[in-house]
Amino acid sequence: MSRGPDLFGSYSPGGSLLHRAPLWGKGAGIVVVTVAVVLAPAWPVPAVLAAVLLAAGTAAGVGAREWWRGLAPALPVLLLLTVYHVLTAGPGQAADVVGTIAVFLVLTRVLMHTTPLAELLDGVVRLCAPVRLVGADPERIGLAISLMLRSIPFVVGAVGELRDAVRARGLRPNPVLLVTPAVISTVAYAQRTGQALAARGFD
Amino acid sequence: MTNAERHRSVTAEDLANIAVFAALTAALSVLPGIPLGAAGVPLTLQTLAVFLTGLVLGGTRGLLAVGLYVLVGLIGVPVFAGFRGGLGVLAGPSAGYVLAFPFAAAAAGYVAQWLIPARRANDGGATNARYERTGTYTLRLLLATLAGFVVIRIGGILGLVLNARLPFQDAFLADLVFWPGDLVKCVLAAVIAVGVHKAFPRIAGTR
Repeated sequence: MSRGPDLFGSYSPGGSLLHRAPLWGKGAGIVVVTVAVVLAPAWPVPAVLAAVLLAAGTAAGVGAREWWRGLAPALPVLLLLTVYHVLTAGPGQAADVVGTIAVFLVLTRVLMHTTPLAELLDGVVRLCAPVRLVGADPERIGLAISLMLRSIPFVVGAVGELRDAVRARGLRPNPVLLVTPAVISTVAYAQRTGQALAARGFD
Repeated sequence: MTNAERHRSVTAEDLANIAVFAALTAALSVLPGIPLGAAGVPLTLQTLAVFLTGLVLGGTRGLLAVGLYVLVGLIGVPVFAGFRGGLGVLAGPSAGYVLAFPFAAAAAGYVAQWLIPARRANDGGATNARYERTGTYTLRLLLATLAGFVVIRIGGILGLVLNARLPFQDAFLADLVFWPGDLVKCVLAAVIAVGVHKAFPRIAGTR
């Protein structure tokens, strides 16, 4: 059965400036864009930023199809918001609201295209270093993330199998019948995983 | 609680439960919705997974599990409904909902623990049996999911006000669209959680 879009991001290797930029540089860029958009007095700022990011992303090799895949799911809501704000406050505010959302959609696309997901996850674990102050271990966050990603195919498979079984018996897909066994096998899987961790000396 | 358990606030078993329930939330969010009722409106199971995680893992672990799910989604793994993911979600109109999810799981979990106390008490499950006999077990879990429901409403409306810049009244009306579906999922989560608690009496309320 289809697992849908890949869980491992839309990174595609390349040699552009953005591909070679260090992660902290991209992080700083995101902070700058965020501050600029938040402090922006009116719509030209997000509009210009979105245009600049679109150009940068295209230069780094984001194709038309990938832009579309990233932006299309948001279009209905953006359209609705445009109509609402044009009617209630005028086109200026509509452009501001929709432009702000668009900036971050474009930014996400550019980041995901030029950075391998594994690198992003490592970066987040490093960002989590301050949790040491409250006695937690950032390495555990990293472990939890990879355990979670590893478990998704199992859970998707468990639900998918039950869905097929229900369909094969000609029953209506009843969410309770479908999800209860899936959750129970998920809990059993979690216990096995916990025991495996304990067996490897993880307290 | 033994000394070994007290050593860490999050044990290996907790960590596995947190990670696997984050995965469950991701799976139920991205799987196509289940057609429900005569109209066959597909219902994504994202909020169902959030409530369920709280009811099964309890408040603290529920908060951590759904928090992990949100963190991974914001990093860019497409685990949000409709295979969305990435920092851009934070700027979108649904940001309030996404950020409210961990707290909704926590609210459902803590209220469930409060309404169904000492499930692992030394009475051999007699307390649970009494609740089940009187039929209030499901009702108590349902009340707990309603606490999560309220948290999602608050977060979602705040997000609509801040990100979509709707006035409060319009944000409330926009949010109202999600009430019927989410209320159905509250009931489903409670019914499913009863089944899970029966299958795994030990996991229910170990915190």
